[in-house]
Amino acid sequence: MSPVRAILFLSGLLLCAAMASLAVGAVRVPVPVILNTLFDLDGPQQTFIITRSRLPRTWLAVVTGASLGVSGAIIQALLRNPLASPKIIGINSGAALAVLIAVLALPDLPPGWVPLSAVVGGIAAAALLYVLSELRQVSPARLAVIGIAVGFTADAGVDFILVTADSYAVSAPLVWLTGSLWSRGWSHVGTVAPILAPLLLVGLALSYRLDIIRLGSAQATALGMNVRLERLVLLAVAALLASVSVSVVGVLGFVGLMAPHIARMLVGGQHRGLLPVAALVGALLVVTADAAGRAVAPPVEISAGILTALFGAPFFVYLMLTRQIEARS
Amino acid sequence: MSIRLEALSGGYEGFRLQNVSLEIRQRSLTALIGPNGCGKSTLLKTIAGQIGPGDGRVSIGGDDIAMLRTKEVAKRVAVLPQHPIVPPGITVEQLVAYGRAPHQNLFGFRTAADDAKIAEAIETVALGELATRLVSDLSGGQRQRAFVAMVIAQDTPNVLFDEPTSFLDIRYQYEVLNLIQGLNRAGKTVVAVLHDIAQAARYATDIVVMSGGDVRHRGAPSDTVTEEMIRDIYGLASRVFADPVSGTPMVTPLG
Amino acid sequence: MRASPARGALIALLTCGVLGGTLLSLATGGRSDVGLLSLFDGDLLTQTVLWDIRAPRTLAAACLGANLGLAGLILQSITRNPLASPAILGINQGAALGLALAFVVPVFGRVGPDAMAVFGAFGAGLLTFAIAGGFRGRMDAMRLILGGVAVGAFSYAMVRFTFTLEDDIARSVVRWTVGDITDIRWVETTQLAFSTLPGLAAALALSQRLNLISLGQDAAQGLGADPRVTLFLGMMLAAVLAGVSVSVAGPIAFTGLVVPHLARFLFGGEHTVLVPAVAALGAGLMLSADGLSKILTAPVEAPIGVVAALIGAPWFLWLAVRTKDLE
Repeated sequence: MSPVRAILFLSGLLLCAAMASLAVGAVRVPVPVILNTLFDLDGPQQTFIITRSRLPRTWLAVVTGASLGVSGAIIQALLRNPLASPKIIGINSGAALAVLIAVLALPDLPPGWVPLSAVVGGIAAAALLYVLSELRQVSPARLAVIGIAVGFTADAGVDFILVTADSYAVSAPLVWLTGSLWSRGWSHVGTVAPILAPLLLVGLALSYRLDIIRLGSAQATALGMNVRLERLVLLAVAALLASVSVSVVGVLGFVGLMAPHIARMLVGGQHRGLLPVAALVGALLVVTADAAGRAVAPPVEISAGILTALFGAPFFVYLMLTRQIEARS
Repeated sequence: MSIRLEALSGGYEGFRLQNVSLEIRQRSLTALIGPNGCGKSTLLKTIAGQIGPGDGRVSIGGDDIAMLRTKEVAKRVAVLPQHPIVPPGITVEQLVAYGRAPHQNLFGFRTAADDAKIAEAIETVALGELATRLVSDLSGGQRQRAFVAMVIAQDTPNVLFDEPTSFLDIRYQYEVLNLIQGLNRAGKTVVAVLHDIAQAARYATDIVVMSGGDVRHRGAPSDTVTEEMIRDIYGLASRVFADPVSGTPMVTPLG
Repeated sequence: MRASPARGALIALLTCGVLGGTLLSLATGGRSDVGLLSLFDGDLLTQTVLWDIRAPRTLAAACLGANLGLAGLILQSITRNPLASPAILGINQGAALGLALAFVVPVFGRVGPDAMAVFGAFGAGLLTFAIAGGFRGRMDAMRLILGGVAVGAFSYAMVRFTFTLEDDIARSVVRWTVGDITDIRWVETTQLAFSTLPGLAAALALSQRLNLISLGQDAAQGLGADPRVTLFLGMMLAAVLAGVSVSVAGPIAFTGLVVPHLARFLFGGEHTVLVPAVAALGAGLMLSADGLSKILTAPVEAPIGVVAALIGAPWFLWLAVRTKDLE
């Protein structure tokens, strides 16, 4: 499939998924009512449910899903490891730990500062990995295991905070941690969208550099590229995209892993086409998971993060069995 | 307890033996030689029961090894793999003691007889002074001797070696080969995959030349290691001389 | 084994560790006025605190340490992978899933929670081994770890899924994903102790096979111990030990990873020595962790699983960086 056709096709799918997401939940809203509400047409409307609750949620799913998809695609290219993703290399857990510490240690922190604390945690995890891969020349396969270990360590900190803090203080973070869009509103969209949108554009603009980096650092240098600097910039973009997303929707595991692979199956490995498609696939995955979580057993909501893990973990195993992991860095 | 191979056709990853039938002479030191990928290691692993025999069968002392329990096979044949794994935190003495496993019960309690065999094996390879050292701390040559001692402690009539000299310095190569020859002279049947033709010709009593998964020549070293064989099997023009020390054949390429 | 002065000292150290841990665990708790002396002169109430609340918890900690340590030792031996342990290979999470299913799905409930936990552990372990290629003769170290993490992530997602459908209680999720022995009583402790003693005996019986498989699958076969049998028996035993532990206390991670490494460092690589050493060391460590979990954040108690993870996760990170033959 050519990238343009893939983008058109996926945009159509995403629109349908968004429609479904607006329709399902504890109260079912028929499509005509949704359209009436959205475009302020005559006829019955559902202003509160649609515009106050489900619309910001769906927007948030689109933005964070796209960010995770692009972040995963960049990380896979940088580490030359098809199994890499923001979660696998520990960025998600690092961000989650930092957010939890910030929220509990500074209860008066304005909501706008939460993404900043997430960025600190996510960047710290990414920096550890960067140091290991640049200075110690660790192989891509081992980096994956080290990233998992970094994630475990951060998770241990998260668990410690959760069980020792007062109950009421942790009940909200707990729902957030499992990766959920529950009770997210326009204020959340307003906080993260202005950060994520420019980052996405930077990622897309630099996409062709990834093609060169994938040739290996010797070849890329011969082609006139400052490999160290560009790797650093790209890794920073990927870490920022993932950790800012985590700060608002929690850990949506495996989206950053699945989206780039599905995109690669559709349009191949050229990053100029791959990155926008990965963004669309990521958005589609999160919107669908969020909608499905509300549709399975209303009025109970299944966290989107649970659903992405249920599908993502087997997908990960499938990738591991079918893809070659490069042994050298 | 002779080893008979009948119509072996096993193998792995696309490679198969071509109906190999062979009888290993009792008390011989048989060297398997041939170019890379000729099937000599596959043949050795088939004798050890690590690879299935395909449509054929391997019998030791008249019994099909597929019908024997793993433990019973281990009482008849000992194997030293090409790259033995060095377990962490194990002393030489403990490693050699593992050779007694097929003779022991579930819990691995040692008898006085076991202790004697272990001590004797360590003595044979001259590692007595290093017996309490960790195997992982030894040099390459000492390590290989420790594994040979384990095989000796297993106390089997037949012993298989897969390239026992690879990655060793030349002095240690001959040390290990002399140990193997000593085992053979003490009455054991030995089958060894060897890479170096001159070493094979010097130490072996019987040579089996393999190529393309099949046995192409077999016999005494002076009958098998010939200029024609080197040309046919290895594709190399050469002259074969008598080794000035041992009188066995040695190969020099014509360039 | 010949006895040496150094080994005698180590055994003495282990004994002291277990005894010290036991005393620490018994002496600490929510009611700081209840100490060890209450055993002798306490009134009825303090006797009750000590005997009905603290004693079962202390014994449970010891048994859990032994169980998880042994499970970890067996897994590290049969996979010849220093990073293997019940939590990393997804076995703990599989047990938690089996347990969750037993509580939520009536059909599985009839099988019994313990049996379901063991089935879950065994199933998850088999799946991870299969992904790593363990049944085709060559176990890939990297695939084993990554596959285990994936199996574990899937099982946890399933556990959370099951609980969301049933009853979304925030606190209990921690119990089911981290491990906790705060509320343990004699019923559960007895049940646990009945798995530890036979488990230790079985591990001893298996120790010679573990010695042989540490030489590699081919060498083990050459020495008369069919590696597939060792793999299967080891997997079974590890699943039972981990499964029963999870059904009593939830999935406690990293104990199974750390204890075998410490024991190997102190006692070398001989499994006939390692098996009892790991059991004692595991018990001593968990007893101390239990004591610490009551002191560290008093008056709130940090569940023992959290304390174990705080110590164990950085250890895993260190191993991931340092272990030589991972690729």
